[in-house]
Amino acid sequence: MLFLLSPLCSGLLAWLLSRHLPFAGGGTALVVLAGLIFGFASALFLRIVLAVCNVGQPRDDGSSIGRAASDGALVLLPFTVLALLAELLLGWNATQAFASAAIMASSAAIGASAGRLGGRRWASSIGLSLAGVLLSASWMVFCALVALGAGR
Amino acid sequence: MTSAVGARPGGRLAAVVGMMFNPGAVLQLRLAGVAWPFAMAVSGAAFTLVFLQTGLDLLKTGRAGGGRVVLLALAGLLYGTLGILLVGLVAWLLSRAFGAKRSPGWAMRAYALAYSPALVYGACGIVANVAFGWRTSIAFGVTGLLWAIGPVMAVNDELTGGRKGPSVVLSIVCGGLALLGWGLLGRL
Repeated sequence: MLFLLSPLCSGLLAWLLSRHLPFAGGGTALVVLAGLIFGFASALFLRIVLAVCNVGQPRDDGSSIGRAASDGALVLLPFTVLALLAELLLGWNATQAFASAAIMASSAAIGASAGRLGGRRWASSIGLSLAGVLLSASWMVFCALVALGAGR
Repeated sequence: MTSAVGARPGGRLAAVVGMMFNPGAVLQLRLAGVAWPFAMAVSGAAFTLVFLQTGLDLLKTGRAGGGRVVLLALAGLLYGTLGILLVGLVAWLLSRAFGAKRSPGWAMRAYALAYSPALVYGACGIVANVAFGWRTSIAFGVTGLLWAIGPVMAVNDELTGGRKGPSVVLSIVCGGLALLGWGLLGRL
C-alpha cells in the first residue's frame, strides 16, 4: 500500500504544483513523473527506516512492519484529496503546506502504528518522525527545483 | 466527576497538548472528563484566531477595513463552535454505517477538541501578527488547521472502531466539509 499510495499522492501533488508554473504539456508530464519518483523513493526510505528501527524484534517476519507501513500510508489520502479540493474548488495555492503536513503526518502514523503492532515503540516513533521531517524538507527542495526548472 | 479535566487548568492544558502529540491516548483516557464548554472553546478560539489573522493580513494590505476584520473574527467564532459541532454530528451519523458505538455527544466533543493544534498555532500566530507585524494567516493559520487533520483522523479511527478504510473515508468527507465551510466563510 505504501509503495502504491506514496507515488500516487506525490504525483498528484506535483501536478497541483505544476499548475502554478508556466509549464507546457511535456513539462507538466515531467513534473508529475518526478513526483512519482519522489513518492517511490520516499516510500523506500520510510520502509528502510522502519526496518532499521525494528531490527531484531521477536516477531520480525515483516508482516507487522508491512501493516504499519500500510496503515500510515493511508493518512496520505485525506491530505491529498483536501489539497485537490483546496486548489481546484477554492482556488488556493497551498499545495506545499498540504504536502509537508501529509508527509510528516503519515511518517509519524507509520511509527505509531509500528509501536502498536509490536515493534519498538520509541525507536519507531522517533525514527519515523525524524524521517518525516527529512522528507518534508526534501519536498521543499523538490518544489524549489521544479520552480527553477520553470525559470522562476 | 465528568468535568474533572475541564475543572483543572493543568488537565485542560494536558488535553490540548496531548491532542497534538498523542490524540489516541487523549480520546481513550481523557475525553470523558472534558466538559462541553471547554471542547467548544478550543475549536471556537482556534477558528476565531485563524479568521482574525486573515482579517488582520487583509487590513495590512489595505484590502479590508476594521469592520470586516471584526466580521471575519465573528464568522470564525460561529464556525469554530456551531460549524465544527455540525461536522462532528455528520461524522457520527456516517460512522453509524460502520457500526459506531460512540455517542453523538462524544463525537462532537472529540471533533471540537481535535482542533487543539490549530488553537496553539493560532495563538502563536496572533502574537507574531500583532507584536511583529508579520502576515501570519498562511504560515500559522493554515498550518495549524492542517495539523488538526491528524487528530481528526484519530477521532475517526475511534468512531469506526479502528477500521482504517472507513476512517479514511470519514476523514475525507468530514475534512472536505470543514475545508469548504472554512473556505467559503473566509470570503466574507
